[in-house]
Amino acid sequence: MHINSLSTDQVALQDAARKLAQGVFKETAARWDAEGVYPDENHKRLADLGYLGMTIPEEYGGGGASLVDVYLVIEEIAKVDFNTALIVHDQNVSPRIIATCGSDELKQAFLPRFARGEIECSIAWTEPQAGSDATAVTTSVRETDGGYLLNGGKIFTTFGDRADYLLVYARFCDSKGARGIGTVLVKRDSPGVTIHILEQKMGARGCNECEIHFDDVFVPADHLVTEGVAENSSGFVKPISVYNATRTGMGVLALGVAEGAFDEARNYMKTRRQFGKSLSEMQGLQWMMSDMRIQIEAARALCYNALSLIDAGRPDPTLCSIAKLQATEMAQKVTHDAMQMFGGYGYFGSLPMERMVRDVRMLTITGGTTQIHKNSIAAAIFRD
Amino acid sequence: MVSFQLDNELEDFRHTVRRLAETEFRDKAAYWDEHETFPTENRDKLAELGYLGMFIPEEYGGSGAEVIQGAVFLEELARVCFNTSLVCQLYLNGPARAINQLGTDEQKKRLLPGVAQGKTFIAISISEPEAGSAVTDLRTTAVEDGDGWLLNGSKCFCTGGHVADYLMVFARCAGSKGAKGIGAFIVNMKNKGVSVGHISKKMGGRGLPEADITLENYHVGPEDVLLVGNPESSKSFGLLMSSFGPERVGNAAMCIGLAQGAFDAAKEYSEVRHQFGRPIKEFQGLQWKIADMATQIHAGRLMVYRAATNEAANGFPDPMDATMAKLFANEMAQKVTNEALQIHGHNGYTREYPMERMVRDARGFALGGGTVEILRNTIAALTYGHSFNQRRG
Repeated sequence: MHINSLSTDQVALQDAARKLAQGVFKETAARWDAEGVYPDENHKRLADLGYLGMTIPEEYGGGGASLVDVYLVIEEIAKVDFNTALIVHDQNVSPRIIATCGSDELKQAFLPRFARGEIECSIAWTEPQAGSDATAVTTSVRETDGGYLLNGGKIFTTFGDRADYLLVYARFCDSKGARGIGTVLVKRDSPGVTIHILEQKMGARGCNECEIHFDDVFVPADHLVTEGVAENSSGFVKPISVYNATRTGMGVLALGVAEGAFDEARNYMKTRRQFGKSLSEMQGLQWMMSDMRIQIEAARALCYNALSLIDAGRPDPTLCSIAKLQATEMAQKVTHDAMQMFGGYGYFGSLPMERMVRDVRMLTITGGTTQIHKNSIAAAIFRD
Repeated sequence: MVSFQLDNELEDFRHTVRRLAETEFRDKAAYWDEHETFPTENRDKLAELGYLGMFIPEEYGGSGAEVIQGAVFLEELARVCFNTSLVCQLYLNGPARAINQLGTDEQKKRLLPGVAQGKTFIAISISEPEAGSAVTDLRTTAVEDGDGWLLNGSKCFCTGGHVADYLMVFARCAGSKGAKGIGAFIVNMKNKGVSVGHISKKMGGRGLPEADITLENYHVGPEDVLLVGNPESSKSFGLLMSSFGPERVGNAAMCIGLAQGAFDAAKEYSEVRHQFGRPIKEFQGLQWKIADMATQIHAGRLMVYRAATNEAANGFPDPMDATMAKLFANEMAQKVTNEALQIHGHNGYTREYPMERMVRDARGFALGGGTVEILRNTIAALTYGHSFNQRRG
């Protein structure tokens, strides 16, 4: 697959998403940010159009789409509305983990409901003391009659306030590190689950992040996704290997916002006149735009290459890390430079530029900070 | 022997301001941002302590301090509460300075004591929708009218214009072009003919929003003319702009303070935050980040202090020093606050910590008071010894 030689179907998919984004989502994008409100109406529309279950296999009622397909859609939406793009991104993550790691029973029970947009699921992994040190998870799961008892606390769970289910990373035994960690599906309104919405954040303000506490929460035995065992780290590694695609996906989210900001800057520069000529005629600014375009193209190539390798069954975690790091760092720089083209106007909320800068800022932190990805890349370099 | 140290008196002054900022201004620093509110109580406190009249001569109720003292003052405020420092920048380096430099004795007697006491807030109104970086494209006109002038035009980005008692407005005499013919007038917000329009919500510096201003046959009496423009000469415009030299130094000093505040918080966080079983300061990559940040802040601070103390013949900071200091400090503050946020991980992205606010506050510097691109034009012009016509095809 080459990003400049998409199939006819992919081009059609991309066009449809672009029309939806530019024609419908663009106009309301500022509202979700300004009011800190979840874009419910967009969610409904996306569910109706089948975008939320795109990657679920066809046998379970989904679209059976490849990762490249779903991210072509997400990229188009991110160009105008980061909050809405984040919904499509997130709602394609948990079902993929269940589809890859879960039992047949679990898949039958949940995937068709995800595909129909009936239920939503959030990943609950990060804990106050387990951030970059991601295997320092202390939330515990212990066997009990007919299932498990869950105890502990999570933080920064995106959409945790509205998800019907939480995919929780928890420790199954007295173990250290990745060994003993597994995943269970927890109904959000189970007794013993309390949710606290965290104070407003810098960007992505239409999507709430939550602090969650589990106090003797009963999880039925058939809600197990991957079992944590003391001998090895399989219960942790399996869902994480699926999650690698999600990291790359964050690169595509960043790519989309950067392209959106770039397009805004380009259009403005052609019309804004200072010193008797348009900004597009000034060499210093032309060079800034050329640099931005180069950075965007490099990130696009990295992201879709990594995603297409996963689609082809040859995932490369190092290339996923490289793509995520490069695209998210690129987007920070490009959104800033695009905003700079607007002079004083760019700093104000009546234009999307300052929102775009705030939105992409989270992407070098979430899904593994840039620094943690550098650790992984360095480890791969020096592994014989 | 050149000394690169502040003298003891200035170091003592720094500690006094730092203590004041820490004890009085830190707790509510987030409040002004969150509620987009002018920090009136801080302004009153600083006025009471005599800081707002720092640059105003003693005969007009101030204390006649040097530029460097103001730089240290703004730096220490910005380290804790950016919005408070922004208000002070307007009191210290805004129109009061131009009035003191260019105004009549009567104007100084009438206006400056109020500024020193914090009772009179004068905002600057230069930018127009079509005259941003190309400031000499401004179209607001001043037409002679009996013993005074009539002002007509639309202004934007007037910082604090909605809470101001007076504006210092740039306008051109009819028929003039470019820098020629531009002068400055004092506009009383209580009078007829001036109105505040849309108040823009911005990314940072939210305690002091920016207003659109409309002037419709506003009559300026002869007592409120600061400097008349001459259609044959750009001298008035040149004088007005050079009176803003200290404003660049103040702007750069706030960047140093903001970066230092973010750096201090990141350093502390890296000492208490544990991951992988040890404080994150133990990681070499992070140590190097901190080292780079400290180096950048140090370089910026030296440039600012140099600009603040290196006066050109006209008594204003050397233009090359001031421009380079602002450019370097603007971009340094963006980078350092952003790295400080990164060191806080996801906590830095939430409003429970001040990092995201500091990043947003720092971003405005590269856009206001001369974009970093326009500053580069100036540096290139000073380097080649002549300005380049930006209008050429």
